[in-house]
Amino acid sequence: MQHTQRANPRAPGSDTGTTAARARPFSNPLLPLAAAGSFAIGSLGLNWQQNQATLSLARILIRSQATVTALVAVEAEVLRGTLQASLLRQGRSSTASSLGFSTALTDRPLAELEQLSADNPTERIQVARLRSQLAAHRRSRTGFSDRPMQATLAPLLAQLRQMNGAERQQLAQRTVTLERLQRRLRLLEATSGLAILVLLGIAAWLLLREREVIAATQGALVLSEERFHYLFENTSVGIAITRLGPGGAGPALQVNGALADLLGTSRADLEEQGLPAFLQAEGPPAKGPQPEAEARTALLEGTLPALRQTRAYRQASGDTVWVDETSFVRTEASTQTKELFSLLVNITQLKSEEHSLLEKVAYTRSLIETSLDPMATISTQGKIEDVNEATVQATGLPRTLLVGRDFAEFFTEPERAKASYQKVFTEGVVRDYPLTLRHLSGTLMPVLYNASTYRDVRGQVIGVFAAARDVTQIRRMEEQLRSLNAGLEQKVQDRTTELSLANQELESFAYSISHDLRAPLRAIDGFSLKLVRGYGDQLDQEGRRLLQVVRDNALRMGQLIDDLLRFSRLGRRALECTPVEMEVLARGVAADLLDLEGDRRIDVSWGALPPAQGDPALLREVWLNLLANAIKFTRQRPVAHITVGGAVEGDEVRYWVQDDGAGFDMAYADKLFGVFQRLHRQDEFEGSGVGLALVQRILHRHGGHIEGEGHPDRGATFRFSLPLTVPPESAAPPP
Amino acid sequence: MTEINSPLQLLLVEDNPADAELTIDALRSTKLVNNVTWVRDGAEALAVLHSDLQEPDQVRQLKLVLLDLRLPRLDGLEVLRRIRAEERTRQLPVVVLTSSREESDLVRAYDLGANSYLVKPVESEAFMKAVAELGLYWMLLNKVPGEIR
Repeated sequence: MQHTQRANPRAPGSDTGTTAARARPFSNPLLPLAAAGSFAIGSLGLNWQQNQATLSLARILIRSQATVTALVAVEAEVLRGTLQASLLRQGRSSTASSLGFSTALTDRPLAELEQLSADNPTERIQVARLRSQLAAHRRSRTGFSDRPMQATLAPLLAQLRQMNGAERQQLAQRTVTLERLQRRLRLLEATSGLAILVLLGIAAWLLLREREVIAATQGALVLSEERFHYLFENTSVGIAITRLGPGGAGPALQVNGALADLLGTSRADLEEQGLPAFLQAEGPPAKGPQPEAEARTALLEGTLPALRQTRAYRQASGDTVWVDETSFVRTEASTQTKELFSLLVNITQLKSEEHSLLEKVAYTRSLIETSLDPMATISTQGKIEDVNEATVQATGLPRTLLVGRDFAEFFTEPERAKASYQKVFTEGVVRDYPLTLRHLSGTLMPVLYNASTYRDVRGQVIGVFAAARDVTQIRRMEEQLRSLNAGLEQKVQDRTTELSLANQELESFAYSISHDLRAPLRAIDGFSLKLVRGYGDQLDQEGRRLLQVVRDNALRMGQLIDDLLRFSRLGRRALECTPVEMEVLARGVAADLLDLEGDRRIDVSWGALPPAQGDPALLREVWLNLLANAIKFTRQRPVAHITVGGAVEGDEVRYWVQDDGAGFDMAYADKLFGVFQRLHRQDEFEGSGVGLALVQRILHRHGGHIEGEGHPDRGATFRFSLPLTVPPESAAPPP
Repeated sequence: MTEINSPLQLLLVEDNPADAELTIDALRSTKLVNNVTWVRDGAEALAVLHSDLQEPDQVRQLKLVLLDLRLPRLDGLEVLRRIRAEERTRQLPVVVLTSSREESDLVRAYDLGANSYLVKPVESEAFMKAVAELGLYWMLLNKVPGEIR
């Protein structure tokens, strides 16, 4: 049993002709039957004909037999009559009666002969001759004739014997013919019987076979029905069969479990309410043509054989189920009633995936569209396949005019543009490929193209994705930057020249100070001395004191000049950095200084001083100033206490010098490191106010720093730090 | 002490009159150096040293040049260079007496063949003392070629 109707839902009437296409041993089973029949009929006909021939021959034979009998009887009577007559004549008999020739005895067979030869003219003539001879004989016998009895008897007997002989000969011939006919008849009878037997055999065979076929057909029908039922009940496709009345679909005739599950209800419910009752209530009808609704109407009206739709149903729980619904109408052949078959496949999951996929696609697309960079995909032939809004803006052309055109067309240098995407195909990627995009209006846009190949799901390269970055602004800024840089370069050069000039001026200025400013001071002091020496005796005490004040101030000014020059010189000196044993350096400086203090009691306690990196001569200045200060400002202490220490902290090393001297007010801490800034009066503690400024400057040049902490009359602590590795000085030494 | 045979015992090249006066004072206070020729600039110094009018003997009498560096017209280092360039004065003792403590001046002075470099102290007593000792040393103790016979 072949089910030809499965794949195409649009071809209804699946159960018509399920038995039509059955293979048969013969195209027409009646043929052999007819052949056998006609053979049998032919045989019978031939038989009958032969029978008739035999019968007629038998009849002829019987007549011949009777003719022979009659002839014999006639001959016997003739012979007896003749004998009697002879006897009478010889007197042996006197019985007249016996002389009486019994005509009756010969007439009866003669009559028979005449009757038998009635249809045979030859025989009739023979019989008539016989009769006349017989009559002649009788007369002769009775003596009525002059002719002797012997004379009449002989031709009579000859006639009789001739006729008898002829008849016997005929009889023998006919007997042979009869026997032949009988043999043929028997053969024919046998053939006919055989034909009938064959006929009966074929009929029986056909009957049996037909019975088998009917049984097989019935079995296949049952199997088909079972299969249909199994399929109907076990398929995951929801199926509803509904009778179509004049008013459209009625209640469902039959639904399967899958449909009930799909709609979340029971079969009974479904069959009662009908499938359309579960349709999702649709929103307000859309304007314009509604092909789907029209198609459905056409289907229900019977003008459309089948329909496939995506429809939304409402489950009993209220959830929406999306289905792929195939509907077709089947017309029952016998009753012409129409049935609507609805096959529903649940595609809710697919629908939801489709929805999220669409959202993703829309999201991705929106990203591409909202990009400010012109983007395009290019086919392997270099044709634009897709563009985003930025490309439309950049070229001034609508998408329809862009897609399909050669990518290279839109650039000022098409050959280079072509080379760019060919490079992508050969190398897989290009980065920051500079091109100039031409707008419809002629405006040029310098861009940098970044492009790479993209592939289909099988990994086959199918095109290039290219994104341009508008670098108009960048180019403009680069230009500005270039000119700015050039200007800056010029400025730096100018400033460097100025600086070097200033340095030279400063150099000569310092030279002037060191040389020329001292001379007048020396003169003031020298001539004051000369005055004291030459005219001292003419001056009183006050006069000599005044001259001494003049000399003191000249000396102080000399000291200031010296310090200032030292500050300038050490500050400008190029750093020559080496590892420095700070403890050796500091202890050496302290020893030198303490030597100068004579019998002052100064207690210096030393902590470990880690080594440092720096210019030993300048670091010596640092220790010299800090230690000298500590010694100087503890001058009023009977026993001065100075603590020196150091430690590595992170990537720098710290040192400190603490004293218990005069200290200072933290309110003026910001003036500690200024040049000529002093926190003590000159008559308390002498000094130029250059020392700490110089220390700070040296430390700054090493990348270090210094801080001071003090309290009036309670001492001061100076902490300075140096990086473990001194950064190279980038600029020229500061003035 | 008479100066008949040694009219040019010491040449002082100094543009500052006050310094010159104090220097001469200091030299005289030693009673050793009486014959001091004072010129006020480099050109004048060279004119004195290299004048054809100067007798070779007279030049030979010159025992010391005290040379300031900051001089009008021709500066002290140039004067020194020319002294050393001239055969007759090549071996002449030249002591730089200046206010400059610049290292570069020191280096250049010695490079050019200065015999000594003295920074003038601001403090006049120290200055006078230094100059006096300088005079004593160079005029009395120092010997030059040709002197020892």
